[in-house]
Amino acid sequence: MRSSQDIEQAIDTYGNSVWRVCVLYFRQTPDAQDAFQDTLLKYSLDETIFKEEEHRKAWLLRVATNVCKDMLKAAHRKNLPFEDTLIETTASKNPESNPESDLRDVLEAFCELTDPPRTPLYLALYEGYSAPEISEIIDAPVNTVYSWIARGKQQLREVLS
Amino acid sequence: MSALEDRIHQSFDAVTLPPEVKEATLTYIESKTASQRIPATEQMPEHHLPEPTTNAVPSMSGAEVPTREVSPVPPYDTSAKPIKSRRRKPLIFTRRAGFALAACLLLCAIGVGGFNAYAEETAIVGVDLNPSIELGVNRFNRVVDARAVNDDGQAVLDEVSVIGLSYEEALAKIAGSEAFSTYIYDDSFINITVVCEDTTQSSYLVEQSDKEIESLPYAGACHQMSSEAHHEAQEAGMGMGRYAAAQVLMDLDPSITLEECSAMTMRQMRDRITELDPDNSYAHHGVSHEGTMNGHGQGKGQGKGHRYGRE
Repeated sequence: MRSSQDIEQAIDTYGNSVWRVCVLYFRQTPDAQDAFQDTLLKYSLDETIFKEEEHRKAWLLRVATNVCKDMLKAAHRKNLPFEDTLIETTASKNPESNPESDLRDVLEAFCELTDPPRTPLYLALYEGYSAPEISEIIDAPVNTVYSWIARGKQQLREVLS
Repeated sequence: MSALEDRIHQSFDAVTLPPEVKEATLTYIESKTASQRIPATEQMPEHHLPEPTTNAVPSMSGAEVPTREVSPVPPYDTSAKPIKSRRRKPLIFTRRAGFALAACLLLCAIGVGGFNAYAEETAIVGVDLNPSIELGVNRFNRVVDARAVNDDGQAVLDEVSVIGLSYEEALAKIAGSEAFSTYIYDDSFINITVVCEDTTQSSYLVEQSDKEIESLPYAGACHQMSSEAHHEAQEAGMGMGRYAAAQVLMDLDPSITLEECSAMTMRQMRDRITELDPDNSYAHHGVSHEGTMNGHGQGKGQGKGHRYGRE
């Protein structure tokens, strides 16, 4: 079991990345919070020794994805309008740097995508993972990941245009 | 970074973990694991290594590291008689022996360096029909490695050995092999892709490839590809020609997957591209990829290719 210091450092370093994955799946902030907490609880109980920090991050993202999928399967939840989540998650950020309307458009477009390709597209375009890395994170064939990314880009462009 | 990616980054950069969620999470984990947790003073966080020290200083966990007691060095016993040590006879280097050794070392260095230069791949040529093969070519235009990209390609390499042959000999041997002929039909299309930073060698390889294609009873084309695109093709587990064609096809028809493209012949992909976009440059000339593709269509009904860029 990991120390409190380890857990807190993981949250400080990778909390934003994990949180964004949870937000991708759940438009309701309480559900995203539940998913985030469950992910970090699993991290605290896991004893994997990571050779590199990138492995730690990939592990957290993989677990967050699986936790979110399990929650969706278990509860069959319907998503609330995205505005609620958007207000909650951007409250601490300076809105002057990003016009809120454009922020809404991009995040709404993302959340309107089916999943897949939503998650692999996010991991590719924002987190910068390659298709082979994404295939390990979400446990899917690499060629399928390539297809999802290509299709997701096309769909995202259509929605945003 | 494209404009789309830039927008995505700006948007998601604004999505951050709220401080209250962080605090709630730490409290939640504490409540779930309180009975199992051992005091923090007794454990070390694994991604910090303690600095080696000989003094008592606080460790990362907060506990003091005790100093290590070092026993004093025993005094030298001057009463004991000195032990006579056997001295070896010195090895005398004559000037002649030195020159001979230097000459041997020089010859070894030249041999090793020469071998490295010979074995070094300076170009990679992909051959895609349905079998997909990659040939590693050295600066002397000799094949120094041959790799199968798929099982069909392996069947070809199991039959023919091309290591050590000149590039044109190797290409002719592959195209003329019985294993390769199994996949040849009237409407077959062979794709040869050259990845080479040296323009002189690249031009030579393209020229030799064009000559080989002209001699074949079916259509084909030779293209150039950047090393970055080659790496992407490798990651996708596809031959270079096949990967480039798949990218063009998926752009035209997003419903087609890379897996489906993997199962299509080169001719099928090009025909599908022609159906979707009759004016597409790939269908009639060379494929464009990352702005470094040159097409040289040869064979039945194909014209010379041009350089195209790709967004």
